[in-house]
Order: sequence, then C-alpha cells, then structure tokens
Amino acid sequence: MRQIIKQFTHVVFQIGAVLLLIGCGGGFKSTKYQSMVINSTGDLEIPLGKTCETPSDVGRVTMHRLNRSEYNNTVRDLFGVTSRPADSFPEDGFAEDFNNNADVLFLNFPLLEKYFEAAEQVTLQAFQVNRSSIMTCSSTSDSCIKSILTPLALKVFRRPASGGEIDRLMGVVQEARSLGASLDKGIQQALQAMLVSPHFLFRRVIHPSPDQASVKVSLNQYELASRLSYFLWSSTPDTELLNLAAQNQLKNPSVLKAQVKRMLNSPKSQTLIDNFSSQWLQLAKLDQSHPDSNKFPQFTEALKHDMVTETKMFMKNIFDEDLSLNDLVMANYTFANQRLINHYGINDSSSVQNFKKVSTADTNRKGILGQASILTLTSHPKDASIVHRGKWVLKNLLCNLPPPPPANIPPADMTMTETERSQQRMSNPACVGCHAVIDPIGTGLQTLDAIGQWRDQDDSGKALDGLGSFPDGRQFRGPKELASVIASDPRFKTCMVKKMLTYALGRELKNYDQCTVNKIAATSVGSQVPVSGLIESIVNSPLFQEQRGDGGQP
Amino acid sequence: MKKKLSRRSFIRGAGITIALPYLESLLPLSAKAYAQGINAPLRFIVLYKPNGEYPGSWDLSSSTLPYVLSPLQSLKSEITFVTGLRNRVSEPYADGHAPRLSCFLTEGPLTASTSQVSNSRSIDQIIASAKGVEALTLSGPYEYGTDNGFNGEYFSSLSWMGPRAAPKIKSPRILFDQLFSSGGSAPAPTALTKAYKKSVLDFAKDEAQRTISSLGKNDREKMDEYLTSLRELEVKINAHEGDVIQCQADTGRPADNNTFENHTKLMMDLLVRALQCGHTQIASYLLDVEVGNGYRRHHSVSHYTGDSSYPQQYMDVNRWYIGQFADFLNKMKAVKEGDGDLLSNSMIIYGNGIGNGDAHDTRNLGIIVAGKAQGQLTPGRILNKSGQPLSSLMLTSLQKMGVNRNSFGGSSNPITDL
Repeated sequence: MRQIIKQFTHVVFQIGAVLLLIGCGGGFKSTKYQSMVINSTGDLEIPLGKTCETPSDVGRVTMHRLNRSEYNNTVRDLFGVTSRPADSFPEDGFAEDFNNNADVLFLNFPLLEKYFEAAEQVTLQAFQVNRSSIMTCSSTSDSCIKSILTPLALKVFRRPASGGEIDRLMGVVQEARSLGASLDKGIQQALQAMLVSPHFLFRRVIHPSPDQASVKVSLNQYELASRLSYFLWSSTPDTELLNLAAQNQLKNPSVLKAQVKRMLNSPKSQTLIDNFSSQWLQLAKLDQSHPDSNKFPQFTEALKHDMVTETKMFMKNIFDEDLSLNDLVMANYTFANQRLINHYGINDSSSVQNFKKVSTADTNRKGILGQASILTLTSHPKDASIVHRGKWVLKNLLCNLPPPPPANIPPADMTMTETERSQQRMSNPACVGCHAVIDPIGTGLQTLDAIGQWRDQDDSGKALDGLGSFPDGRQFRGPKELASVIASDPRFKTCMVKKMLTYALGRELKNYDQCTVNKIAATSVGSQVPVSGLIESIVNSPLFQEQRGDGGQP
Repeated sequence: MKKKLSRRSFIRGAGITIALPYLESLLPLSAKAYAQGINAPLRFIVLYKPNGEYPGSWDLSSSTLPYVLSPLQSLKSEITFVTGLRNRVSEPYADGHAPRLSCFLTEGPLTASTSQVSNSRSIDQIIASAKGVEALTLSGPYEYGTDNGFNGEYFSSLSWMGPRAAPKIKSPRILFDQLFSSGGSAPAPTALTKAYKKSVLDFAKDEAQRTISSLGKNDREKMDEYLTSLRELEVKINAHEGDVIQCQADTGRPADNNTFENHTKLMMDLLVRALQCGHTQIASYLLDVEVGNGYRRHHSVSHYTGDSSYPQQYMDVNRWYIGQFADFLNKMKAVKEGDGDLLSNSMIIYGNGIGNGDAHDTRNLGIIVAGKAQGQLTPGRILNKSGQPLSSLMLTSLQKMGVNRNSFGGSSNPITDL
C-alpha cells in the first residue's frame, strides 16, 4: 500500500490531498472532487502550516546538461557552426511537458561518444569559419597560447576559466605539440577538450554547502547570464551578457530589464515558440494524428502542416507584439493561408496564398481552442474526443489534470455515439468522479469535428448544442463562451505562470513554489499585462535568481 | 521510496549495454565457433508488442490458426501458445497502458511521477547479470512524452536496470555502429589518433574529478554518469585492434530516418546478426511504445468501439506484428549452429501485457514462447493457463536460463509443462 501511495504522489500536485486517498475511482462521489477542483488554484498546494507571507524555499535546479536544441544553438552562436550536430544525438527525455528538465537529461556512453564526434566536427568547422578570430596570435610562446585560450574558454565555459583550467588546457596544447602538431592543431585539441568537458556540457550553480538544503545562495553574474540565455534563447550568453556579467551589472534591475527586452527582440527568441510553446501545447502530437481518410478526404499532409504553422505564428505574434497571454484563449484573430481560410469557412475575399493575420470575430472561433491543430490532436481518427479535449484544457490551460483511469475499464458500447458514451461514463459511479469534470468541457467543443471544422450535428445526425459546464455550475455554449470562462478562471492565470516557470527553471515545480506562482499570477498575468511582464516577473523572482543546497530533498 | 543508486547500478545503467563490440570481445568464443556448434550459448529474447489484442482473435480451437496468427502457420512446431495469463504485477498502478508494459518483465514495486519512474530489475537484466554479460535493449523509433502526469519512460520501457529503465537503442544506424564499429570498413585508428583522443579525454576526466567534490547529491549523480561514460570510452580507445570480433555486417549502414516498417525489419535483422556473432546473448525489443501508433493507427483502432471498421483494422495491425515475428523466427532458424540452429538454442517470448486492448484488461494475455532453449522447451503446443500470473512465466524463464530463483513477482509456481 505504501508503494501505491507513493506511486500516486504526483496526484497530490495535481488534484489535492483528498484524492490521494480516494482517487477518482470506484464509488467516489463527484461532489467532493468537484469542490476540490473549484477551490484549487491548480496542481500545487500550499504546504500545510505555511503561509505565502514567508516563502523561504527557493528550490534547486539540478546541474543541467545541454539538450539537443541547446547544443545546436550554442555551437551556432559560439562559432557560427550551423550544421546542427546534435540532431544525430539520442533524443532527450521529457518531464513536465518540456525536454529541458535537468533531472531527466541523462548522459550515457552512446551520447558521450556523440559529444566526442561533435566536438571534432564543431572544432574543424569553427576553424573554417572563424580561424582568424580564434588564432589571435601566431607564436608558440606560452603567452600567445594563453592569450588564445583565455577568451575561448570564457565563451565555451560561459564564465572565465580559472588559472588552473587555463594551465591544464595549455597542457593539452603542449601534449599535441609534442606529438608533432602545429599550433593550429594544438589549439584545436584544446577546443575539443573544452567541448567535451563538463564545464561546457553542463550548466551548474556553484554552492558553498552543496548538500545543505537550508543554505541558499544567489546565482553569480555568469550563472544568471546562462540561466537567462538558456531560458529566452535556448543558447549560450552572448558577448553583451558576458560583458555585463564581468562588470557585475546584470543584477541591476534596470539593466536586467533592458536585457530581457533586448533578448526578446532578438530572432534567437524564436525558441520560445519552437521549444516552449510547441512543447507546452503538445503540437508534436499532431504528427501522430491520423484522421480517417475516407471521412476526411480534405485532410492532407499540407493541411496538417498549415495547422502547425498557424499555431506557431499565433504564438509568435503574442511574443513579438508583446500581447497579453489572455489572447491565447481570447484572440479574435488567427493566422491562415487560403487553405485554412477555406477550411474554417472564414469570409475573406482577399484570396492571398500566404499566411496572414485574419479576423475570426465573425466566426464561431476564438483563440487557441478554435485552431484546427489543437482540435485535431485531441480527436480520434473519426470523431472529436470529448475526453481528450476536456483533458487538454484541464492539463494545458488550467494545470488541473485529473488522475489517469483505473485498470480493467469495461469496454464501451461501440454502437453509441461519442455523446452517448460520455453520458454512460457520467452515469457510472466508477467513472463520474473524474469525468464529471472532464467531459462537460469536451462536450462544449463537440461542434468542432475531428479536424476542427464546424458542424451542427454529430455523425448520427443528432443536433449538437455545444452546451458545456464546469463543476461549480458555470455554463457555456460553444468554444467562444468556453474561452471566456477559461480566461476568467483563476487557474488559468496560475497555469500560465506554472508552464513558463517550469520551462524557465528547467525543473518540476513543487508545493513550496505555489506561493511564488500565486504572487506572480496576481500581478503578471491578465488582459492588461503583456507577456514580457510575466517573463520579467519570473526572471526577477528568487526562484530564478537563487538556489539552495541539495540535502537529498526534492 | 527512491532507492539509492549504487555505483554498480550507475555503471550498468549508463550504457554499457550498448558498448558491445569491445566488451563482448573479451569472450573467448566467436561466431565462427558457434557455427560449428561449439559452446553455442543459450539465448534469451523478449519481443513486446503494445496495445493488446482484439477479443476472440486468438481462437486456437481449430488446427488452422486464426487470421491474426496465421503468419505463424508454418512455424507451429517451433512455438507454444500460452494463453490466459494475467498481468497481476501491473494491476495496482495507474494508467491503462504504461504499467502493463513496465511490469511485463518486472516484479515491482513501481513508482511513477512526471519526472521519474522507478521499477525493479527486469528478468532480461537479471539473466544477463547472472551470466556476466550485458543485455541488449532495443526499441521502436518513437518517443512517448509526459502524459497523464507520468514520465514518458513509463510508456516506453520494457527492460529495467532497477530502479531506472535500461538505456535503449532506438535507431538501426546506432545499433549498426555499435555492433560493427565504423561499418566494419573504416581503418583502425592509428596510435597517433588514439593519443590525440586520449589527451582530450584525459582533460575532460580530470576536470570532472576536480569538480565532483564541490557538487551536491543530485549533481554528483549526473557527474557520475558522465565519468562512467568517460571510462567506457577510455576502455574502447585502449582496446587492442585484435579484440574486435571479426563478424561483419551483411548489410550496409542503415539510414538515419526509416519508416516504421523498415525500422522494424532492420532492427530484427541486426538483432539476429548480433546474436549470431556473439555480440549479445540476452536481448529485448520493444516493437513500439504503449499507446503507440507506430504501425498504422494501432492504438487508435485498439479502442475498437470507435468505428465499425476498427476491429478489422486492429486485427490487421496485430497480424502485421505477428508477421514480423514469423520473419524473425525464420531468420533465427536459418542460422545453423552445429546440429541445431539459433532458434533451437534460444528461448523467445513474444507478447503483450494487455489482454483486451479497449478495456486495458490485464487478463487473457496473448503470449507465444518460441525456441527449444537447447532442449529445455518442447514447442508445438497450446497451453491454457487461465488466471495464472504472468510472473509464473517469468519465473520459468529465469530458471530455464540458469538463474537460481524460487519465486518472482509473487509467484512461486513455474510453468512446468512448457
């Protein structure tokens, strides 16, 4: 039993302590679960006996191995190497939606071998592109070699190398020289050594008492520069960040604010779309969606590609124009090409092939829940899924995912429609506990079919009213009203904070983070707050700028 | 209850599994000797196919195999159908799919969260340890991300080092490179190349060792993984050229991106070759992750109530997997080893930890045991083990493979008539 409880521990973070004991399973009365959902601010709890006046635990982030995207971006920004060597590395693990979670970024022998291969490749390419900027002198004297290695190590290690480190790198050059290597080859050897060293492959925070959970430190200037750049760029800090760190300026609030703004304006912040937004919204799942080709002959690979493009452009617009994250659900616009305009039946006479911003004000759609990408990836091949859509909303917009279903569920009746099956779940005491929360959300999206096109009746010809509800009694009709209900739900605010904070830190959030989450949500998410406001609050929070020791605590 | 990882488990967990060419090369035997039947080892292989079976599709009452199993018709004398087993170990754990797979070869207890999954050691790893060899862990090409609040490993791991999942090889190209380093054609590294590589490696190792004492517990574990991998690389660099097994690939180096069908065929071909060449004796291959749609829309149609065409589509996919299995058995049979062949020197388990896929049922598993395990198994039969735990089959496997165990996963009753 103890194991089972442990196994369900994650549920505590999602639903609350009561469920730990009861689950959503057999005989569970929905009212209790529902009241918990209503009163919850999401999937974290404020620890018992604590108040939000005294948030003391800033947590800790495990030493971060560069993931594949970070590796590629880093060597691109260090040396102009654009060959994306990490594409051939083994894939990185995911946790909490994102593949930058330090705890699951493991390292094993096949990956290490790849690092050695990549280091050789990157070094040769760096010398092809950049030799003159690396080889700043040509004598084989110690002083020349040192003057080459010192700035190189600063860039690669994202901090100044220590005297000992420089000495040992000089040892690598000398060893190569003794094997008959030229100066170039000697420096290349040293660069390869840097690129396979833990100082390059891992990002860490130096802590004076690393095993003392009670001791917290502020990140030093260089550590902060790295945390910032891997958050906003998935890449290494550039010269400007390193210079500010060297001048001890980065923690100056106005400097930090200006840097965040500069970084968000850089094309490198595209990673907030390609990594953060895409992983959060689970866009990769669309690859595994296969709408039935008999039922949906209009669904093509090209259309699928358009769907992804739409959502990415939509997210990019929010970041680029610095809009409120409320637009995620409330936007009266989207981005579409002619094929999508036709797909949605949008009244648009301009007939432009390329993607452009189009108004959805006159349609039944609003925000992300009106977009075909999300609607398709939450569907069965032949029909929209009430459960998948309800779950998607709960997980990704409200951070309030119910626990998974129990074993040995009786098979559903295949002669029923999706709506009838939902009604069956709702009348089964073993199912209703969770499905009373999940299904009425998904039901409200039933007027959008398995590829996101509007419909007024289901496959059996029965009229769909699009009526849905939340357990607290809030009712809505159709996707547009659902969007408004979500936008006004306090869990939506905290969820936006949680998703971005999880990604920014690269660690799982814990109960002790709830106070910080609440605090940021109260001031930095809302219809009047641009997304940069949330980013700034995260960057300024103690969770981002401080770290405690380990001591075996989670 | 996170088990503290021992130094040894790090070494085991960190990828030696895949570093076969030079480690196995320490074995005195070569494929050439096996072909003559001298000391051919007893092999153990598990092939796992996800998403359950369509109820009734394994009807074995007639002498002609049913549609789903028909590709095995000509191999009936090489296999035994074991029906009715129940995946009890998986039952306490949440999610309809993930624990059925994760507990297929293990005995629990299992814990799963968003960031980590811990499990007991799986029988392939137990057998490998007992034999003092490394198990080969292969997988389909697809990842499974976090879902239902669980880490993707929960849906994607058949073999477990305990507490972590064994590292998987998910690319035929990587498998090829590990088995036949540099495609078997690249020139051996010169002494000078080795010296350069060694110098780079020494720097990295020195830096890691200097750093590790300043790290907290979790960071130390990360650095330990790094150091362990460095040591393995060191062994490889230092290996004498003569240690490389002279068993070449019979195909070219596979491409990086393959269709799922090609991936499956390449992995199976390379697996046969690896067994034949003595690169490995113990292997597991997860054909696709649970909830996977690797081949067609396997998972989607496994919830066959969604459409009247799904039952047939569901059976088509399961039949395709059976067809791959039949091909694999034929290839094993074609490799002669003395009077027998690779298949007769093996025990192979093919199966799934879910019964009825739509219901995520733990009962009535469809399992096939193939091979003679060097005379220990009598294939060609149908055994109905209704209600008996799957762990009984795993216990039987351990015992047949020479592991001294009296119980496993709550079962102390091996299947004696296998």
